[in-house]
Formats: sequence, structure tokens, C-alpha cells
Amino acid sequence: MRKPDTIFWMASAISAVAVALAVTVDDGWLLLMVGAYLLRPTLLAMGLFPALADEREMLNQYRAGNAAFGVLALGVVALTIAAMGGTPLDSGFLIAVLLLALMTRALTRLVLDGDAMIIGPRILLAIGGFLALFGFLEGGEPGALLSHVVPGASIIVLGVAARRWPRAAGAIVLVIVAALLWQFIGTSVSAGRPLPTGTAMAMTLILIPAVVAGAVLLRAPAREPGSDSAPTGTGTSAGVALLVVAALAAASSAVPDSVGAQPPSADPRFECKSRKNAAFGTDCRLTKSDTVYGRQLPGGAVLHYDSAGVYVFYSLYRNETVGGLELAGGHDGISQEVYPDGAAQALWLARPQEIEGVPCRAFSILGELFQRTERAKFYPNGRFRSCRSAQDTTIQGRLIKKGRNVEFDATGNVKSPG
Amino acid sequence: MRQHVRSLRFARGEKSQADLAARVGVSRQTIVAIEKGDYSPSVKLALLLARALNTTVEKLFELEARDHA
Repeated sequence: MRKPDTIFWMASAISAVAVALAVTVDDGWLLLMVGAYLLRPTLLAMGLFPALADEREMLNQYRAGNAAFGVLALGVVALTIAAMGGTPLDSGFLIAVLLLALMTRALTRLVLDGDAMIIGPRILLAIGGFLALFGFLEGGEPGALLSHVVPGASIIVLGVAARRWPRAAGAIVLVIVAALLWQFIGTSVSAGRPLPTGTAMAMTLILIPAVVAGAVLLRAPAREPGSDSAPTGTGTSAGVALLVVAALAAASSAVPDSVGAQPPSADPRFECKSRKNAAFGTDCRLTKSDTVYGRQLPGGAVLHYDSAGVYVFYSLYRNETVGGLELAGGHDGISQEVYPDGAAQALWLARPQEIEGVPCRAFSILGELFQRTERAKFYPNGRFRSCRSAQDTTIQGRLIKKGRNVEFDATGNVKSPG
Repeated sequence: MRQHVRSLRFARGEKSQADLAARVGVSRQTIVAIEKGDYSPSVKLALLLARALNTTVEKLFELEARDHA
């Protein structure tokens, strides 16, 4: 493993500043993180610190950079085609493509090193570190903070264990990936809609490196007979079985109950058609502005019903005002979720707006990408539940920092941050 | 391309990979990659390796039949 050198300490200092920024002002930190990551290849490519990289490392840096550039070019072409097709794109999509390219660069660089005992643990430590970091930044009450950090910390532990038991760790990682895919796809099918763009990208950024780590660890050379490694057979089987059970339980618990009315196929105000795959339910387009489920919706709004006929969300052709809030519209990824009776459940705002005194953030693909849900949520009775604050504000005597999630209980009292 | 770095390394006093790497100014991983046949060194590095192992480049590396143009 590389010993810490000058560039390492410089990059660490930039990362520390980024974390401090993320905790205090919540802006600009991601770009600093990217800068910290690209510091080494940039300085080496400029011919600085030549003693810190030999010719093979430089060759691998160039190869990894070329692979990343290929992904970047393809991503930009895809975004351009989407924009030409009328899909509104915010800058978050470009940053998401940049992150995909950086992921490609990091993975290519590691795989070119060729040592499974280095690649696998490093990838797991990176995934766990970032998940723990984002979990920490998610904040909240001490109990919630712990639950946010635990998944990342668990993967870090797995990464450390992979150095001693690579094959067992690889098997566990691949089972976790399979279980997550099962859960996400199962939830998507049961909800009758494709995964939101941000969720799909977050999965890509986490699961592809995890698959690479799992695969290389499984192919790691077996330990020499007589080495001091612990036996892996029983522990692996038990761990894998436990994970499968836990994952399947989580997946099954994610399937919502099916209650509610059928799609309004016979209602002349709607044009309804089932999706190609019946499991994805039915879409009904409101031909002109009208009151639906007690709420005024604009013409062109598409109401979606799952395969059981339950009304689950609507999407807007463009940004529109519904129920006094300007909501984001324009493409399939923006679903305004409702309760089966049509009451608002989770809304994407088109711009920062004040709801019951809270300045709520607008739709952002980056927010969803990093699991920092920025939707405005409501209780079934219509009472405001939560959103992420767009600026520093004081609610019920409590100072709420910009970027923090503000949550009220069902009686209207601030529940978190505590 | 066939290489004899590992055998010559042992024949010349059992230098460790780390020792050899330090002598020629590369990382140990690069020596590992060369010995596994995963990486073909530059002319300069090949000459440095040959000098460090007290031999010639021709004895350190040789082309195989499939390498011929």
C-alpha cells in the first residue's frame, strides 16, 4: 500500500476543508472533494513531484483518465440528446455525469493495479467512507445520526475484514448488491413506476464499485496452508444466509399495501393507457385543467395508478402551481407522490418556497443522488411534515441551519433537528 | 515477451522486490507487475534493471515467437 506522501497530505487537507464546509455552510464542498481526488493525477501530469510516480503508475493514470474521458463524453452526448428531446436538465445532471466519470477513473486505476488484496478493500473502504460521511452530513438527532452512519461504518468494517478474509468479504458484498437490486427493483415494480433518475444514479455509483470489489475479492488467491487466517466456510455461509434473510425481509416490507380506487378509465376527462408491462400499472392523462380528488390539477398532468389500481403519484408536463405550491415538472423522474385519496404526500418544489414558515429547498438531482431527500412531505391529514431548509432560519425558537432537514410531528411541533 | 527478472534477482544475491525497486527508482508494485508479465518496462527502466542485476537487457528480456511482427 502506498505510504502517505506530500500529495497525500495536500489532498487530505483539501478533503478536511471540504468536510468543514459541508458541516458549516453546505456549499462547494463536493467540488473540493473532486479537487482533492484529482490533485495527484493533475500534479503528476504536469510533471511536478516526478519522484512520487514511476512510469507504470503514470501509464495507469493516463489509461484511467482516458476511460473517464470516454464516460464523460458519452454522458454529455446522452444529456444532449435528452435535452434535444425536451427534457429539462439542471446542473446536477452534469455533476452526476462528472461523478460517473470519476468513479470510472478510480475503478480503472485500481483494477490496473491488479492486486485483489489492494483493490477490493480499498473500494469497500471508499464506499463505506463516503456513505458514512454523507450519513454524518445528513445530521439529525443523535439516534438518527447513528442510524445514518451505521451502514457506511459497516462497509468500512467489511473492507478491513476483506484484507484477512477476502473471499468471504467478496461473497457478502455480492449478496448485499443482489439484495439491494432485488429490493429496489421489487419496490419499483410494486409502485408501478421506474426508479427516479437520482436513485438510479446513486445505485450506479454505489453498486458498480461494490460489484467490482466483490468480484476481485472472490478471485483473490487462496491463503497458503498453515497461514494464520481464520476458517471462512462456516462464517461465510452464516453471514450470507443472514444477509439474504435480512435483505429479503427488508424488500418484502417495502411493498406497500394495495388499497384504493381503480384508474378513471371511463372518465371522459382522462386518457388512460396501461403501460407495456402490466406490472407497471396505468397512466391517465388529464386532458384539461380540472379538479381531481379535490385538488385542481393542470391539463397534461399524468396520474399514475399501480398494478393494483392505487393512485400513487402524478407528474406535471412543466412546472405548475398546484395547491398553492409551484411544483417541478417536465420529465419522468419527477413524481409528485400522493396518498391513495389524492392528498399530497411528497412533493418536489420547482423553486425554494416557504411552507408554514419553513424556507424549503427546490428539486435537485444532487440532493436525491446523495440520499439527502429534499422533497416537501405532508401527513395524510394534509399537515406539513418536513423539508430541507433552503437557508438559516428560526422555527419555534430553534435555529435551523441551511441544508438541515426540518421535521414536524403530527401536532405541528418541531421534531428534528432536536 | 519473456522476462527473467525474478530468476536473476535470486541469482544475484536474492535481492528483495523492494530492494530492487529502490535501486531502480520504481515502486515494488511495478517490479511485481514486471515479474508477472503484466507490464513491459520502458527502455530506460529495462537498462536500469539490467545494471542493477549485473546483466544485459537481452538476458533479462527476450522476445517470444508471438511477439515477432
